[in-house]
Amino acid sequence: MTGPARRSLARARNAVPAVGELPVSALARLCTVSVDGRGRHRRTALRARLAAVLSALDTPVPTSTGDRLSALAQLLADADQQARQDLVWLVTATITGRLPDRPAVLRRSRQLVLDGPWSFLHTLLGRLVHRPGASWPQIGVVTGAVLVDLHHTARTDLATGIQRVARRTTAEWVRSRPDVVLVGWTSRLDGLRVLPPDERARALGEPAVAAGREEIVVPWRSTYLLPELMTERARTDRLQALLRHSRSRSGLIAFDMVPISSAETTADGMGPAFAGMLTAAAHADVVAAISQAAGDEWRGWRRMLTGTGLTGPEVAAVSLPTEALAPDDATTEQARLMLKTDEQGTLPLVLCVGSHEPRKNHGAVLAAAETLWSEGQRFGLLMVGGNAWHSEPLVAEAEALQASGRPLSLVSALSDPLLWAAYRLARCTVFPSYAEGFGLPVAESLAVGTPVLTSGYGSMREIAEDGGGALLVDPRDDASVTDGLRRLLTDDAFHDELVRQARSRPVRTWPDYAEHVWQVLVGSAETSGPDRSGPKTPG
Amino acid sequence: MADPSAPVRVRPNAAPVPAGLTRTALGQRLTAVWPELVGGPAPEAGDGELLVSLVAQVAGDGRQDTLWLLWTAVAAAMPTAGELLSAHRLLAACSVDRAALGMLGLCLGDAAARGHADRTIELVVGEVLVDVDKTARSRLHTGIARVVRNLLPRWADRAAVRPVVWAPGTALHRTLTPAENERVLRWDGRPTYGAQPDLETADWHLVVPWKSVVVLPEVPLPSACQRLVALAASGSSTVTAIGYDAIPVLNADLLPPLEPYRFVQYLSLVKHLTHVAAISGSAAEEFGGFVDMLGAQGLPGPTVSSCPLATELAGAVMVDLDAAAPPSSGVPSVLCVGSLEPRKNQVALMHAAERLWREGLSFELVLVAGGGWGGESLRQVKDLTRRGRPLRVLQAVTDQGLREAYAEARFTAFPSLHEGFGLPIAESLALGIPVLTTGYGSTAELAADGGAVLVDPRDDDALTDAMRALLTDDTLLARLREQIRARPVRTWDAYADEAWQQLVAPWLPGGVL
Repeated sequence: MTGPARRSLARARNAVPAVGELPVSALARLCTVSVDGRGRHRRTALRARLAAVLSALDTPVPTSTGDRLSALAQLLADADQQARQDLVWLVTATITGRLPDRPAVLRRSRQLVLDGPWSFLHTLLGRLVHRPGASWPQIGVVTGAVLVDLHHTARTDLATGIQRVARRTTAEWVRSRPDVVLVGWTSRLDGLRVLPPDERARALGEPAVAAGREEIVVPWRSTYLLPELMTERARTDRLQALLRHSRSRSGLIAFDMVPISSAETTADGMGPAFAGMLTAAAHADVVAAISQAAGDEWRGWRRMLTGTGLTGPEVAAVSLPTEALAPDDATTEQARLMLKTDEQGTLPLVLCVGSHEPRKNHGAVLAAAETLWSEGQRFGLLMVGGNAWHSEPLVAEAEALQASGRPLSLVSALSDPLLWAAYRLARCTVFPSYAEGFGLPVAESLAVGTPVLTSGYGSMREIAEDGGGALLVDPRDDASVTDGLRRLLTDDAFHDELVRQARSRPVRTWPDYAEHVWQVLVGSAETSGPDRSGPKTPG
Repeated sequence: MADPSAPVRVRPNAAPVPAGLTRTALGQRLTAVWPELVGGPAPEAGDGELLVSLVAQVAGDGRQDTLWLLWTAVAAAMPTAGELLSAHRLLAACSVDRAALGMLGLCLGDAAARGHADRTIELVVGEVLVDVDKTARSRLHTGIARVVRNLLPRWADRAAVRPVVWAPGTALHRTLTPAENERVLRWDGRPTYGAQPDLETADWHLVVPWKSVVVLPEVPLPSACQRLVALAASGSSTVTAIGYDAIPVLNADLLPPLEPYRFVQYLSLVKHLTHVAAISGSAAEEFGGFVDMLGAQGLPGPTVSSCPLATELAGAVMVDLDAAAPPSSGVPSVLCVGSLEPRKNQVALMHAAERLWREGLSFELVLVAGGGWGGESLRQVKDLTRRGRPLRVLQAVTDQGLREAYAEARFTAFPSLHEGFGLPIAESLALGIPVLTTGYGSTAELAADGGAVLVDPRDDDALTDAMRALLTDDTLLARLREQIRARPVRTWDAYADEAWQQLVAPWLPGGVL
């Protein structure tokens, strides 16, 4: 199109009266036609969505489309500031099937105030796609239910610490409360959907089953729980609006603040992604931190919120469980053969578990090991962990030590039974990490009765002091790490004492943990069961 | 491009070279640090002998600060924390001769990459260095630049204050060129863009702090932060900073992703600082909250104090309302100063204005925006303009033009969602103009002494009601003007004094004031 042609078209558009200037009766008619007059599938779906909104708002559902729209317009017109934004959120999410972000809620609320409910509804309906043959999925407004968002865990076979926590915890919740609704996000990351059976099975770590039909849900006066991380801006922006406007209680399991408090140890994109999640978390009601130390980090962030005019969520700390999976003798023997660091397999084993990223401070472990090997100490070092961000220098150093004949093995991953066997075989575990939300290897090693060398602060100290069995060092001082490891290798009486302490530690189980977290996150807000107003109402 | 086969050229020396000796730049640098590492003047020896002696000395004491100084002298670049750790492990594991060679190997890569191996250094001991990198290089007069340009001239009278910027390669500080000095110490307010100084011809040299106080009144670039971490963490000097806000990690949804990325790199430095003087009580809570996080990683973090910025506006004369000229438009004017971006919330302000225009109120809305990136606010400006609303957007306004806009305003509106301080509020009040602003955080602090109406900027109805009241209620306006006259003024002299007491005085060797 040429410049003048484009300008004349723009002039022509400007000549058409703005929607806000049309009389209400004309707008109401246009809205009704937009629902009823564009094909059966669209009509059926939109009428059901209107009914779902009205039901969720405890309003009788009239039969005709025009009456349904009028009832909705009346509710919108009567709402004051906060109620208005909440209603706009609910109506937008349910009619479009896409959760709006905060700017969209504000834009539409302002249109509602300036131009009235019919103009608002007309714009909303007019923006809906009407491709021939477009699918019109069913959208349910869910009230009084508990929704658990397992989007990432349902899509991955990864078993990092976070997925392990999300899987085990949710599995316990589902076992004791079958009404819990597991949800993920749509492929466009713009709405919540009930996890179909295949994804549900993967999320819970159960055997695979066939896929099922997709059902989009809009929570309203429900409870929303997030036991994993959320890092995509598309999701965090929408979650923020959901937590602000869905009148639902919300709770998160809070891992660590490493991307903010130790950015030098994470990949470049992680800081902005995590900060995006925090903009949503600021509107949650409560978070359950995985240790006291992680709780301190979240409380620090909460104090930082002062200047934003928000109070942030209540922060509680529920330490992760330390349930050991006892390996049988056959597995232990298999591990002994597989994981030996010297030909004979007779050297005492020092175990180091964790990905080779700078935060884990594996450089200090190698430096300490080399110093002790040079002194003539006899032990093998087994490092279990994958490569990660900035792992190259560490791996190069380890390979140089191997080339010079040191008894050092690197294993990128182990099955759970073999890992537990490795813990059991080891004389001690070393974990002098700079910063941890929990420090899983510390808890795991102690759970099988193997002493640990770890950092003398934060969550690692916390786990150590919960029953003993650990030697605390300063991870920023190589000499402190070296002296500690030497003592664990050479002082048998001291080592025996730590073993004794580790074996008598209290055991906290996953069911205990899941129940405790449920009480913190859901607490008295728990209701009898879900009430899906959408599908139940007549179409 | 430098010819790698050409002999290393020695640039003019900053520190005196012992008479009768011809030294390479490396030799000069080792000689410069010798008195601090070994004591007494450096012996007349070759570079290699000097290096081995210094390595032996530093390996023997096992300290981080002396190792930092040796690395900086050898590499002509400050080490990163990772580099310093590598050197520490090298010295702990090897004989002196091998460690000396290893140090050369570790350092020379950096020296070659950063391009200063052929330069001499000036070692600055027990003085005060102020990193004014962005302000010195640019004529932009941002909020931070305003602070630096008001602070440095007031500090310059004090003994031993040295403004510094980063040398090319961002690995080491250098002195300022005359033009840069002008921009920091004698700001003339001209919004013109001077030619960048020619570092090939200008007179500057590298500066290395030792047992000094290094003050950061700006937020350094991520590459600079990496070097400053080791400077601070090794204890070579005391590093303190002015803390502006933590907006990028608290309002990431309102900002492009580059900002939180940069800011978390800055936080990696903040945790090793000695002290942060925050520009408001609210900003102090933000940095204090961050420090609260650090126990989880075994670090004490900096102490944090509140040192609010000045509310004084140089040359400000309160508008005489009785004699004030009526606005050029003939109707009351509402002024909003701030870049067009979501955080500044002009979209809500324009919405409230549109509601009041529809009610039939007659007033003009003037947005003074020095830049910005808010697509939503631009769309709204276009929409309101199309409807013929009395809305003006002024860009690239001179200081004089801004004063005129203030003088014409009935009140200013600043419903920002989050501020570290709220400079436009201070400006408005200094000129005697009442303010409508946000009822929490730093803006509420500024308003506490009177002259402002506070609202929740997320509540459109409240914002509309407050604007209506300010436009129609002359008694309210008179009361606010009365309050403004009774407000105490915080001068830049007072700010500079207090900032010195918090950022410098306690950490100077010998407690020099």
